[in-house]
Amino acid sequence: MPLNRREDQPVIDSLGLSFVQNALQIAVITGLLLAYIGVHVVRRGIVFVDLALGQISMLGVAAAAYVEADPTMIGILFTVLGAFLLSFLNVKDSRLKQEALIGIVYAVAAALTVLLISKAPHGEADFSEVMFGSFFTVSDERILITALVFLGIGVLHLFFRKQFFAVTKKFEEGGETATGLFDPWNAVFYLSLGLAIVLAVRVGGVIPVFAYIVVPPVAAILLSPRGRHVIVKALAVSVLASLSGIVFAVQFDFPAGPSVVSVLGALLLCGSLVRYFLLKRG
Amino acid sequence: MVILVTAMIAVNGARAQIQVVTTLQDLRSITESIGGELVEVFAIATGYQDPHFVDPKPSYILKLSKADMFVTVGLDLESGWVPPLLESSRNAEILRGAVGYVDASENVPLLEVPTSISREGGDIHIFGNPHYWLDPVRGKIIAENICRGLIRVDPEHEKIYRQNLKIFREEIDRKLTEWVRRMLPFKGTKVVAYHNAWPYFEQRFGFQVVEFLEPKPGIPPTASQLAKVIETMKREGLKIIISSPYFRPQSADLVAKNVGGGIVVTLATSVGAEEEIVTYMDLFDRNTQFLIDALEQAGGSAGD
Repeated sequence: MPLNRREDQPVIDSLGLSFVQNALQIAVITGLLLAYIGVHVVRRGIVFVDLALGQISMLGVAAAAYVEADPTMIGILFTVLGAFLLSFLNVKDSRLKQEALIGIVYAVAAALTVLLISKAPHGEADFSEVMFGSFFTVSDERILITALVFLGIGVLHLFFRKQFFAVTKKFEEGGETATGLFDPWNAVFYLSLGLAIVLAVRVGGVIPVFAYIVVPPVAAILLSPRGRHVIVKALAVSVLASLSGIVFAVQFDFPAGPSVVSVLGALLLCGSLVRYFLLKRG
Repeated sequence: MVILVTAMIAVNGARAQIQVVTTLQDLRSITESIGGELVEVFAIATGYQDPHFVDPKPSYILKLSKADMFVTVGLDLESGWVPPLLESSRNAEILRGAVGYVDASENVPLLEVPTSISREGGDIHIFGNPHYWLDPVRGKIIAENICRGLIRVDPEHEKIYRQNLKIFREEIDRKLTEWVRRMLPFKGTKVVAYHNAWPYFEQRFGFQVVEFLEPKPGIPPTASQLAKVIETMKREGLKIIISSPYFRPQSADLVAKNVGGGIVVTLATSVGAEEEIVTYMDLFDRNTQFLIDALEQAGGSAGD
């Protein structure tokens, strides 16, 4: 039995169904913004920052569950605050990398989440409702909110792309202490990253968000030996993976997030094969 | 043209069955008992899956979008995944309050309903414990709710549904005598359980779950909780630990080993948890048998 289909499943032959349309829309919207921000993230070498921020947003939800407050607002508050604090990360010791500290933030946030949840009045109940989004069950309203916020972040990045890329370039060239303790553009960058992640995790889950941030930029860099059009290629990979990932999930009846991540992985593999043969030939 | 018309009639004929989607396999089995040939039922959760967590798949939404009726355990068992699935289905016939929406918990007397607004005690289920289908007598009330739902969406066949309900109730009554008789040696036995899924089952069959491996429903066992459970079991001479297929066995095994002669019994919380459990009746046949076997293995009645 290929792909373990349950025999009583219908074969879905139409992509025009509203829930599939919603999934395609939200996947493309999230994928585009995350891939764009991901170019910064990958070039700075801070790929685990989004896992750390995702975990901090969970910590916020856990804290909200503990005091029985609204999890959405507290989750966002925690993430934005966490992003702001992370922008101060500044390693003066040349033997250490930012990545190590980001990893520590992730681990401690995860541990604190477990501690809080174990004492929260409703345990996992509040948690599962908030944390485990799926592209297939996203509401029209949520798509609209996400689209508007992401559009805002996108416009901000486009408008100030010189400033943002200047900071990223400093990190790329100057090592870990490039910016000094506080750099306003670095702080704004982290804030936009935090906001994007907390909303994206709600609609797609943690792992797809991580994959959207890391895979398209890496694939684009692989496909650009001379470093040209990296952003455009990253966006193209992201859109391609979003569309084909959802179609794949619909065709074989898989959950949406893992399908998109698998397709992203497959595209990256194709990208590295192309790179390999290009280099061999050239 | 004639061929086309014939084909359409054939399609309509196939579609004439009432399409029902249920959250759990147990509700599927009961719906099939009441609806018989007139219904086609699809259950979303498998029997070996934790019903608190279900990852949405396209086929679920598609089934829901074409369903005439939807049956849910209700309370807040499936609250993490049912509302978004229903909304995505865009099927107004099965939304909460619509004719095709059946809350199986209607009229079911619930246990562990919190009495105070403050939920410091850690009550996870604010409406009461949702595992009520594990009592066959309450299963009859579930069947009544499903019967009423089927009559609402398909009034034409009211007689058949009522007849099937009668047969189902009689079968439960007949089987219940047998289950109760079989469980007689178990009466008064004290056991521990992994998750608080058994209050209805234990009340019906007269045994007592005194401690849980989870410090709080949904929270994985902690060291201090396991130590407490082991201490209690040793002190009171308890031997039996009830677990479920979707819980990792390590904690229960650890407790069993530390108690000395502890026995882990994996009971099904749903139809389909094992291949042999096909119907709602099988669920109780199997679970009562497992408990009795465990009791014999433990060498007579433990506890008081």
